[in-house]
Amino acid sequence: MTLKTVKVRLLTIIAEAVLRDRLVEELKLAGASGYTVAEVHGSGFGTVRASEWAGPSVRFETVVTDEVAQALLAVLAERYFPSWSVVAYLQDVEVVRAERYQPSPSLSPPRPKKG
Amino acid sequence: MVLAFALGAIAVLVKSDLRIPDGMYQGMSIYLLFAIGLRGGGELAETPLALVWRPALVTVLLGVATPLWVFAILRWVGRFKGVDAAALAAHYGSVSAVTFTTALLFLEAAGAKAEGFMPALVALLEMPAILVALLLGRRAQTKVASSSVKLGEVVREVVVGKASLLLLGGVAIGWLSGQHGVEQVAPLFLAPFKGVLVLFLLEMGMVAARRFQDFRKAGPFLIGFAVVMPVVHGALGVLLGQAAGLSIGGATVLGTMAASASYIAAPIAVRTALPEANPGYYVTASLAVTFPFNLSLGLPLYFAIAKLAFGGAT
Repeated sequence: MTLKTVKVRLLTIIAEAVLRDRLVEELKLAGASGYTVAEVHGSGFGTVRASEWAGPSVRFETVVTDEVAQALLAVLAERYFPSWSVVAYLQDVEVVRAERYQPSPSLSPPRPKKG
Repeated sequence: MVLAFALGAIAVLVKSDLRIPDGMYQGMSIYLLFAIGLRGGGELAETPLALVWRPALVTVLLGVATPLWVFAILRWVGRFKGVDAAALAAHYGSVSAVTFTTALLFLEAAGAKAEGFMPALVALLEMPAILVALLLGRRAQTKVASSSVKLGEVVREVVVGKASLLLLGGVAIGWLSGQHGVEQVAPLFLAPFKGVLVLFLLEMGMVAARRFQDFRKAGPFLIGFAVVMPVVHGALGVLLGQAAGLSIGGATVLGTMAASASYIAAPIAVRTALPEANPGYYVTASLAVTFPFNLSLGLPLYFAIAKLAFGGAT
């Protein structure tokens, strides 16, 4: 038997280690239901890394609805892309249990403006 | 010990496959910072307050003043952007814990042991320096203001960032439990200390050598600055240390502290709070120029200055 799958979005964010905690907050605020984070190695050619002590870069993966993904990309574009090394990309993925990746209503208020 | 640093640098230059794992690098940093703190705290508990307050005062003074003129020099003589000048001020105002530790051991070997409470002073120099520099940076930043971070977050980063937390926490624990308490953990925190430091210097050699290729981006002014500024700060630190009643060893260490440029706490604080500043300047200058310079030529130089300043008094 084939399980019925639903299309949702996979957002991958690769960022400097110093952004780790802040990105978790952004994911929560945007209404992602969860995330996976891994430490990864790599570098843009021609960029200079700030600190070994902060640790290797981090890669976040989160399966979300298209609205949440777009909202997150907008936040990244507004607040993170200009100043930090951040790469983000979006893919279509199919999952069983689509309800699992819906933003829970309590978690997705309109984004409060932070300073 | 400098030889371990050189070996690390050579390993990178000949493209050896030697690579210290991330976890180990982080682990050694944590160990070193905590051990330095414990050591200093233990000795602090034995020291009467009357001996400590004057060195502590000049240290804080140094921490507040050095970023101000570093910023001014870079901004108006070096024609750097405000955020870059501030980022460099944060580095040159603060302390490199490894340079500091190497200085302690160097002086022990030279028979001029520094006061035991010196590690407590590291925290006193580091925090005001980074704070003052970041405040300067924020003023320069207001025109950009795209991603500015709240002031509270900056202070938080400086005070409870992992480097300060370990160092201060170590001092506090050492102080509370006294010399006797510290002796109980000596087999782990004191005995293998030098060995770990040597291993760490090996890694630092590799880290620094990987930065050598960024030299070109830094420009001749900055490279000159990264050598001259430590010498000026070093001499100043030695003289202030002497004035505050430190021994010849203690004054040399204070000079080294003033001369060194942080590469643990400062880069993280700067990257978090002043992301517009170019790491090509501050990391390259502090790690690839000032750090090796202090280890090799700086230390003996500051010691010589101290000997001169103290005259025949020792």
